[in-house]
Amino acid sequence: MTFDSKRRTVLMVDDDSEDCLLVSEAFRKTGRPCDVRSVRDGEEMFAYLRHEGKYSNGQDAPPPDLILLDLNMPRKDGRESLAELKADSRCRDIPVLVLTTSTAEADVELCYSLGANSYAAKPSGFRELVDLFDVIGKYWFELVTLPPKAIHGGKTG
Amino acid sequence: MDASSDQLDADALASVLAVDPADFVCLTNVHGEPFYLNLSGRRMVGESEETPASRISLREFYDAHSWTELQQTAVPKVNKAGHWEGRVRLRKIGSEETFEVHARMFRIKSSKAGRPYCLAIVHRRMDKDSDLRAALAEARARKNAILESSLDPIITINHEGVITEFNRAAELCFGHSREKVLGTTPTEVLFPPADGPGQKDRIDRYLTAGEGSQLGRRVEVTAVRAGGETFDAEMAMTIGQEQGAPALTFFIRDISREKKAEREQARYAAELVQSNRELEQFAYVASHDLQEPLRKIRTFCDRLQIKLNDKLDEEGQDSFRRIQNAVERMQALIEGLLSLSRVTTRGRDFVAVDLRQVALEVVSDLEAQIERVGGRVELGHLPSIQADPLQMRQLLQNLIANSLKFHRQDEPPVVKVYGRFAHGRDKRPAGLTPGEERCRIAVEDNGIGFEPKYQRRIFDVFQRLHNRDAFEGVGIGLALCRKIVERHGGEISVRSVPGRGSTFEVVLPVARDVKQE
Repeated sequence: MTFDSKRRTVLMVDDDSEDCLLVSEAFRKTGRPCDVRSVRDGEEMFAYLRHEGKYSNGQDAPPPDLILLDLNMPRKDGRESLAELKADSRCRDIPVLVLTTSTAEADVELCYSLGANSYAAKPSGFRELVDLFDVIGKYWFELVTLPPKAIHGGKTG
Repeated sequence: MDASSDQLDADALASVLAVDPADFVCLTNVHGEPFYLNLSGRRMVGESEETPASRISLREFYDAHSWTELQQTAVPKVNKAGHWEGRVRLRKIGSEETFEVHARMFRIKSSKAGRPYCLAIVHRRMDKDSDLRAALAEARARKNAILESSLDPIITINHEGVITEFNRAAELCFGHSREKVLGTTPTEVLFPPADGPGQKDRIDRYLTAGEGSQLGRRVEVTAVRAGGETFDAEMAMTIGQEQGAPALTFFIRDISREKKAEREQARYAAELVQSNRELEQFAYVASHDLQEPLRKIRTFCDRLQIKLNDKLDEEGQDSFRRIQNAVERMQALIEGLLSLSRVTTRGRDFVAVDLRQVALEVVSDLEAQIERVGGRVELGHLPSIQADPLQMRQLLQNLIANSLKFHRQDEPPVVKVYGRFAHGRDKRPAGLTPGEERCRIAVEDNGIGFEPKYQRRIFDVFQRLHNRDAFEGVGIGLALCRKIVERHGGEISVRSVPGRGSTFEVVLPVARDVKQE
């Protein structure tokens, strides 16, 4: 197995700063070079992706290789953001993993119908979190082939 | 004793003689022995004018029944009150012919000191008219007595719709005096102005046609008191004749208190439903939100432990284990609460469920546990019912798993599951709707059992009869069973003998009209 040492960018969209810290930590534990960026809600996510507002210079907003999307957030929540994301031709190829505490069937169904690439419940326990991201990283960064646009980000300007 | 020896005092005689010359007048001494009988009296009963009064036997003048009445009622009354009035039947001497007369009997005091009083008996023939008048007066008196003693208002209107009868209860209920109301119409005083025209039409219809939809039935109406306050009343109407014309009588009952109680009960019920719903919502939201910080505690705790792993001594390791156990337990409790609230918030529509099929699937799911304890589950007859299929599965799973879990050390568990329709095996008895028919499902084990005093408590949430070292679990399984059974409109109970085993019994409606509460 070849280890792709290319540094990846993960954009975590979650208002929970502890979760952001833990995910970043978990990715580090997997040993994959990974840059975990976090934004607090959907509004901020689009600002990041479209280089708007505080991300207007584009320097601090490298295009993500994977988006981790929480569902329950203030302002623009995950469901709304997902719909908008997948309707935008410049972003829709970025894989989206819905990562949430909700296990409601209705949420799972809705997310897949909106075009989510995966759906996972936030695991309880740090080992479980590391395990999850080990698999996620291996899958999205090593095993699957994505359109080049996605890998190099949807530079939307 | 004869007339000469016991002369009647003139004053007394005057009072006696305030009688018609055609009346029967007889005077007797205190013992009822006659000493005077007038001519009219003698003619009335066919007694010879020659017979001295002292030789007369009064008994011969009366029919047997009247004689008894005189002895038993009249005489004591006269002795006590000085006066009696009634009706008796006289008889012509020597014949069977009897006729009714009006009777009066009174005591006449002698004006001479020391002399005893005497009794006067006066009879007057009754012609047909006076007969009728008396009967009428009696009937009227009886009617008035009934009207006045009735606890419910009784109101009569004549064919012109005018109130002719307004009893005491009506006065009390409506607050109008009888004098004020007589001559008015019910629509003016008894019903609210808005209802007036409708009631008037109805009343007119009854009076003219003598029939109507409400006649002879109880109807609920809104009535109004003198002060303008309206109240709920129950009314029955009956049509009769008054002076040759139809008259309508209303029997009214003030049901404002019952109505108020009814409304209050409905309000309480609605509040209860609302507060139950809120409680369930609360349990769901609270437990959902409680999971969040718990997950953090666990994850950060993990992370810390991994980081410190090599530096921790045995005590430090133990502390981490304890934290983690507590967190896991808390998580189990929260999940229990969530599953409990989900019984109603995530309940599904009722469909036909074959309980035997469900039980077979449950047993297959529990195979590992059954094997581990070396037990056996025996399935008997189980009916098909209308229910939430997932919850039926949960119910049977929890009950069977519970029976397998609390088995005796020395005895492999044998769990028997069987059921039947409560009213017979396969057929619904006549007269029962599907919703009323019930089935019984029993889950019987040979486990450790428990003291009867716990038989209610074990269905309460987080109730456990054993410490966690002996049997794990948070005490949610049976509470969940009860909640599921209650949602299905049924009941759950248990019988148990310590050291011998327990039998859980679930009674469920076979079908239900309402899909969900």
